[in-house]
Amino acid sequence: MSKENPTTIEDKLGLLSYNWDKNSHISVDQDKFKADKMNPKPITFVCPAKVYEEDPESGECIVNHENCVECGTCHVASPEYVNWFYPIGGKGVKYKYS
Amino acid sequence: MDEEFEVLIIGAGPAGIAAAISLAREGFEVMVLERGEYAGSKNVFGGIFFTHQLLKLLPEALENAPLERAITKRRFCVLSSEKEVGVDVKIAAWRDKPYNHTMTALRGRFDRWFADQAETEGANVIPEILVSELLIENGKVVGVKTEPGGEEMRAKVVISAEGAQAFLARKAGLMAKELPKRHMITNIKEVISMPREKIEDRFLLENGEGVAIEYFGDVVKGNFGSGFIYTNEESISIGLGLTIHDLINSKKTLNDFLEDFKKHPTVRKLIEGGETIEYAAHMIPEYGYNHLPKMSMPGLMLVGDTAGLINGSVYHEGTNLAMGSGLLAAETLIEAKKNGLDIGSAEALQPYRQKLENTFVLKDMYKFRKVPDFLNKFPHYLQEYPGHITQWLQDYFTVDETPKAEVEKGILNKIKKDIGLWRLTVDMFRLGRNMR
Repeated sequence: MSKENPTTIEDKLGLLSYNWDKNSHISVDQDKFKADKMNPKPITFVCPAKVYEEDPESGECIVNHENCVECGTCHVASPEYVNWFYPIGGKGVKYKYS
Repeated sequence: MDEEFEVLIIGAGPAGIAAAISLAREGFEVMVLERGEYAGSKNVFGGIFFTHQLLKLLPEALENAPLERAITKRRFCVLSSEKEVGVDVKIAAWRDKPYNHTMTALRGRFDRWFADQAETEGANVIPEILVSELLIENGKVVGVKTEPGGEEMRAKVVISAEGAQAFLARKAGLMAKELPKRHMITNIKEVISMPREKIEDRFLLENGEGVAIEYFGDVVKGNFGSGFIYTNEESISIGLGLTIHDLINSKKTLNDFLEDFKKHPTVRKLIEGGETIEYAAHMIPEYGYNHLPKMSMPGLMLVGDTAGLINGSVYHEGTNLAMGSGLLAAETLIEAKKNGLDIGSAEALQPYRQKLENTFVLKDMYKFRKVPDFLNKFPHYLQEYPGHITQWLQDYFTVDETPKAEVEKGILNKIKKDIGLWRLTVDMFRLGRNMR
């Protein structure tokens, strides 16, 4: 009970189980991502699982597909450059409660 | 593959499984394909399960189903930075069966149990199979393609209970290609474990009773969205959501909103001392009646979230509309078969939409049809009123030497300054018109 509860997204993701898939179910059109003038780029903060990060040096999008909780917010926010589809059967996040 | 199934159902959530049970009972050959490791492993909702359709299907469910608590108190409140103003509806009679058809549930448990019932009734529920594509020939859906493996399965009719993302329905042209940012609400939640006695003491509940609290206003900083706290048997669900449009404009993460909400001075004591055991995220399709997809095409029917069947308003109903649509989809097919029709034909599926219109599913959505567009068009209701109303009430109930007549005058002046009497009248009139 006295254990500290997680407050950051990273720590909260640590509560989840996944059936890890080495193949990514997500791809990002890097040219269109770089061309997006919004700062910060929406997918880097609307994704509740921190799947997307902008590499400060190359400006490319780093995709941490293994974090994905499969809500779909990213492709609604930025359909122009996020190519998202479900992981194949049996893979991905595995909720116990919710 | 040459074999043709009678009915293929995509997704083992409440809509798909309700349809499966109903059809299996009438002797249909039913196959449910679920992409998760087990039914419920991908499924997330806020936490209130409205049981009237479940009981229609399984009258003993209140004894058997893994439901959490019977909701006997519903609280609706408006938050501002340091304040909370709310209305409680506590009804002791809701302690008795059928508990006002309002129970908390955890989908990892409930959906798994519900899918087991479908198997008992003779449907096949196959996990770990993703439907990646619909097979469409001459404008008719004739089956699906699955992953892993790329295998094709043919069926007389496919019911898509795919969920909110509706990839297959969009690709089939039953709705717009892209999901609307202003109508998709992303919710996150945490499940916080807590001993049952502590929950009952803290929320003043008798054994097995629960409470559902809905929060508006500062919980999402005046954006289009809301928050909630629901009590489960030995845990609390706390969460919030806002439209993706407003989330983008906020430049914040949903977790930022949630951490602020959990620290809010009127909220923090409710969750204190619990242990967070799960974090989850999910989109809710709040299109409203005026933006619904087409409900069917030859060989394909849409049910549940895929069909946009959500009554947002103040009710936040979804699971009952999902199950209701599953039952009506099944009823459509059962009648078509009795009438000797090809169950995948346009003629067979045509009555489905009217069936939805004739029941609470679309009657309720029709009643609140203006709400989603209204809240998008007039954001000041959610941005301005929560702060003002809580302040006016704080002034009204502040105790000091100020004579009450002066207090009232002061509030009236504030109302004039904050909103204006004419605008207040117009706003209230418009709110009333858009809720009917």
